[in-house]
Amino acid sequence: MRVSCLQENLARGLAVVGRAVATRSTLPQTTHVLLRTDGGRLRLAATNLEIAITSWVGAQVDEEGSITVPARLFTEFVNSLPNERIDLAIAPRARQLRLTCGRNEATISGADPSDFPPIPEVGDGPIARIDPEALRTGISQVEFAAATDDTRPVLTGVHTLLEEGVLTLAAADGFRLAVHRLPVEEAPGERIEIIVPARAMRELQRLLADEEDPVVFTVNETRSQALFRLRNVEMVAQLVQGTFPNYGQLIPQEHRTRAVLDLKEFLQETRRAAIFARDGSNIVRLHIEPAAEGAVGRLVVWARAEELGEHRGELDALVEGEPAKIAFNAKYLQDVLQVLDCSQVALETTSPTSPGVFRPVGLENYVHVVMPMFVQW
Amino acid sequence: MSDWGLIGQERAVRALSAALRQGRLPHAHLLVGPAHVGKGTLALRLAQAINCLAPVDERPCLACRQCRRIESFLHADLHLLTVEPGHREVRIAQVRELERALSLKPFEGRARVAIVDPADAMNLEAQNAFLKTLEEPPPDTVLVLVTCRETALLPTIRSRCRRIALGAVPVARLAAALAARGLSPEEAERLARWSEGRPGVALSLAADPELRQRREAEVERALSLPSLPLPRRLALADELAQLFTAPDGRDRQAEDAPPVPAPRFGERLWWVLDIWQSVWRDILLACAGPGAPIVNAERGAEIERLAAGLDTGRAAEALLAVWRVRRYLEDNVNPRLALEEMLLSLPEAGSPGRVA
Repeated sequence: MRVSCLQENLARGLAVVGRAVATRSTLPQTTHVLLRTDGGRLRLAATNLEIAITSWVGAQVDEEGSITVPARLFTEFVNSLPNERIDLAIAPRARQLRLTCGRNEATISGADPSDFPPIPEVGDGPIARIDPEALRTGISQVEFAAATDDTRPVLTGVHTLLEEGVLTLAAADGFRLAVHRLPVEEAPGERIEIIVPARAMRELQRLLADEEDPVVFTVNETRSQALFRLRNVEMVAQLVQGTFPNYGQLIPQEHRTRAVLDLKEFLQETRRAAIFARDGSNIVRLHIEPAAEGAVGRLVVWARAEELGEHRGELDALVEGEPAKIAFNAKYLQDVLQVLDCSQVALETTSPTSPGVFRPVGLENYVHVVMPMFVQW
Repeated sequence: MSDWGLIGQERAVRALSAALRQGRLPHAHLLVGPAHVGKGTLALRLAQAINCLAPVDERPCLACRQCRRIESFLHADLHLLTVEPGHREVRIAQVRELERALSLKPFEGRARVAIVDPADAMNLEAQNAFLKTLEEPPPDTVLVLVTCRETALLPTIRSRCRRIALGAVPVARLAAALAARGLSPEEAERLARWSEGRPGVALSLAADPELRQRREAEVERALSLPSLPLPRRLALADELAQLFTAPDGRDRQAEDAPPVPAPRFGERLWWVLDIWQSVWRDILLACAGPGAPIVNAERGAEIERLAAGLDTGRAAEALLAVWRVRRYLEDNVNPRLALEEMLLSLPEAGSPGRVA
């Protein structure tokens, strides 16, 4: 192999695939990064067997070839080099990468690229094209609701359903459920239902930050991997085994009280209450009071810490229905309010013991259900 | 490959390949049997057979990409749960890590295969944590537990696995297999006999001339034990106790090397005790009368001479002492005390009243 490229480009490519390098692994190859010539480009790839990221770097290829080298060492070294031309070479039949840049010359011991885990590429499977910004928002609004412990592995993933031109992302951890729907620009004829690890979704979200072109999304034949193709980058997520709970029935269809609140004010009050709630089982109590004579409707946010003190704040609310009270975990409240991208949020409740529903006002694409905390009123 | 490239163990191979062909392979297996008879190899072959790309009847072909990657422990769907270098046990954190890996769909093969070898190295917490996975493994997952100390596993673990027993291979069968692998008939016969029907031992002896020399030296030492004065026996016990707890050398392995199953704890001492046991059994057989097939036939004359100075009861006691120390060591008795006990109960040459 003989390849030349710019330090800046190589460093950027390595930073992208570096997110998929295994830090500690039983398979030593997964701490390596794969370098392979691919047409007029240099292909970099890394995998921790949960996600795989491939990135292409513009390069001048004089001779085809491939090798894997320890990712940390290689990345750190490339980052330390000046932004000049880097020449990479592997002597025939050798397992050593020779790197020259300016007045620096290095050799790095590598390994047989055929030992590297096979990284799938987007094949001929059914593909969908999704707007990157919409997908990023969708992921950000559901991924935090996925379970972080492994007692029920399906809940550590984001349920991803592509049906009739709509992509539905859902995550739940037993206490809350987040569902986001977004239209796709181009949809395959068939239905795709998979569970993508939340960690993989977070990586995808990160990769989508600067994307402008639609993201290509597909699954492999055995439905064990999902592939996302971006400009110059591909990410493969290893899917979670099992069946996601049927969450549709968990979303209350009716409510007795509906309060429309200013999102910023509500989040602000919740944060204040959380300071006190921290020392009191994280409980934040909400009282919804409909408009009465001479007064507009309001929401009272109340938190107390035993022996420390308490806080009570209120904000205006447009209330429909009966007065209501309900208590939530302060963290869950903040989590959902933080990711919403709208000016008003609606809170729907039925009773202090049934789930509360949060919906952005004016947008039909998101619903968030939170189990209340059982408290003495 | 109908024998799965194994020496002997036809029954185990038949059972597994039939289950595979009929598509009703149990999800958890427990491979039991003495050390070095092929349990680890069988576990690997099963992983290969499950993922092999060849037609069903030819699996495992040992030639396709899947088979080769599994053979060298490079396959992403092969999970090895074993004692990590610097530890004595398989810990609960490792079990949890495995569970996490198994919760994802297979990466490059048909199914994920987790091999737990040695399964008896799992401590109590690890075994209990593993129960959940054994009870209800994710789809496309096969678990293979490998042990030569079945009783060290919880009954709840054992009852959740399909038990497959492997045994020593008849010496003639092993000799034929070794000859087929290119050894001269004499050498094949000798190594088959020395290894007492354990293919793993025979193959490592065949591969390593230095190991063969070390074995001969160890036989020599076993034969000279009766004439070893008591103070020297105590020193020897100390030396062997250190051998028992010495690191197994895996910490010096290259960082890039793929993981392999850890040897049993104290493997070097087990190796020595295996040889001593074979020598003392030879002596007991010689006491019982001429013509018995002895393992260390090359030293027949010395074995006869030692046997002549002992009655059968004394020889049996000596053999029992060697067996006993193995039990003690497995049960965590202080190694030096256990080894002293054994060495002091071995007969003394020329001591009146002790050697008949």
